[in-house]
Amino acid sequence: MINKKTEWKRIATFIIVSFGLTWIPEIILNKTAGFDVWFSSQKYQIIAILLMFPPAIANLITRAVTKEGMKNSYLHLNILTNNNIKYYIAAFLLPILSGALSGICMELFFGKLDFKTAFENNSLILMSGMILNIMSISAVMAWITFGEEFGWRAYLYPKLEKLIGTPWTCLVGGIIWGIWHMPLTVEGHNFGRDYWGFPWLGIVCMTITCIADGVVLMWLTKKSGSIFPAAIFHACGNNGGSGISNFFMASADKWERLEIYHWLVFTIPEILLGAICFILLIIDSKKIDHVHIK
Amino acid sequence: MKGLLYKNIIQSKLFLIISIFLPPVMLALLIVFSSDFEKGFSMTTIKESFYEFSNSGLIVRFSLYSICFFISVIVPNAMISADENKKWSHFITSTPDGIKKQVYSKYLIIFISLCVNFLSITLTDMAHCSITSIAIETEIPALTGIFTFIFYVILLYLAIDIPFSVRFGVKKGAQVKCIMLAVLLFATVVYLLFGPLPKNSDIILDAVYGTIEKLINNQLSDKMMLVMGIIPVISAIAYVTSYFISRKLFMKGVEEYDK
Repeated sequence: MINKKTEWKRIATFIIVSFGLTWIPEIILNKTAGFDVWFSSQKYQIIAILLMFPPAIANLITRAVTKEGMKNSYLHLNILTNNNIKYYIAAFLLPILSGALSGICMELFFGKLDFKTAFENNSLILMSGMILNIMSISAVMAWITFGEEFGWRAYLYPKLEKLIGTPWTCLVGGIIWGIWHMPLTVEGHNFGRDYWGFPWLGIVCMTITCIADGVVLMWLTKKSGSIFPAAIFHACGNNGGSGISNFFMASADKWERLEIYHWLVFTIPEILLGAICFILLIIDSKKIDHVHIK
Repeated sequence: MKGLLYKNIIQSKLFLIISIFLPPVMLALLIVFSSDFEKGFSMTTIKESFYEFSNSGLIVRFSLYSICFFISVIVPNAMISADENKKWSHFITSTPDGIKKQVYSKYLIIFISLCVNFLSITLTDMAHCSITSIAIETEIPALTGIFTFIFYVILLYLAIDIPFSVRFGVKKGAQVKCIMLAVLLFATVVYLLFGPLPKNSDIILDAVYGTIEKLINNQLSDKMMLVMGIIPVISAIAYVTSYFISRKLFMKGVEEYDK
């Protein structure tokens, strides 16, 4: 039996700490150094990386302040138990598959369906090399994305799920995660500044992405009982998973030059993947409910 | 499992601490001791030394951090030798899944120490790049790409090294490795004496430097990119396979322990 009031207090503490620790320095840096300087240049590279850790710090602070302990921390690797290795493999492959499908979608909607030229422009060796490199870099750079995952997926999502159920967790968790990115989105991160509805449309788009990705990450975390597959998936996405799309595009605009209306098409596979994981999560939660009733 | 991992962390905490602090300390010492002391020991000379180091090119930085990575090559033997005791080994094997857990915990702690070392080196290099960018207004490329490659090469080395230490004990394992190394060295000497070599030895050095530079600047050829991608996969598979081999060899190794 969970104490709902305490759990809500924990969630509130977590959100305040993670938003505070991220937003305050980001807003200060946006105003003083300027977004393009601090986020993209080497000068503040280390700060930009450290700013992915507030959710993890918030997790630890909340647990300490509310005397919760380190139960259900999702810090176990669980790699060799219960065939969990398949979730690790999925964490590597899903972002790449999603990137490839995004490229196909872009060529279908904005290109001339010239896949032949796309494959002629890029060798199979280069594509294989790039995929393997993305995977290997993501595995070792997952410590960066661990900062976010240890906060959102290892703390916020399981807490929300206990209180509001799986479907609402996917939605609310994604919205919170999307809003957390706001200081970056309003400065042109991901979508630039030159689009209709700036910056609100960007915030909505970012939130939709976060909802879809959040579901996949939640599924990986729940199924493996570990935060590391989610960190790898996130790292794979950040380290060029989407760049794979370029191999499937001949006449459509490349990934690096996406406009916001391109993005709507580009994220179709991501949203579909999120939808599949959402269904799997619902089925799982119904199974658990069924067992509890029995 | 938690207990074994905790025991391993306690046993190897010194190495873990060294892994964390070695890169920043080495960097700081190199900057301080390469300063021109004839001008006197002051912040100005250290600053000058910092500028010089930051502008000294990739090879100096690469060499510095390669030395730091060396700790990950030494650590496994120390971690394995800490448990080279017949009484302990027989006790742990009498518990359910004892061998599996003992070997798994060793592989895990060795992997963790390598990750800690990698993390410390990467962060030190990133911090150095940021400071250089602020202090000198010059952007020097971070070496993260090459560190990743070194990480996997060390992982591959560990995959080969650990089963030897498990099977023969650290002492005898080192002797076996020495014999193998001697054979390899002999073969290299024979090749250097009688094999075809380029007339200008600079070609080899240039090729090595060129590859490092291309790796840092992301300008690798398609084939090289594929090779760079395959090595990590081989390393990961080798490390897992090595774990299963070590599990099988563990009891044979226990019989070789002195006490």
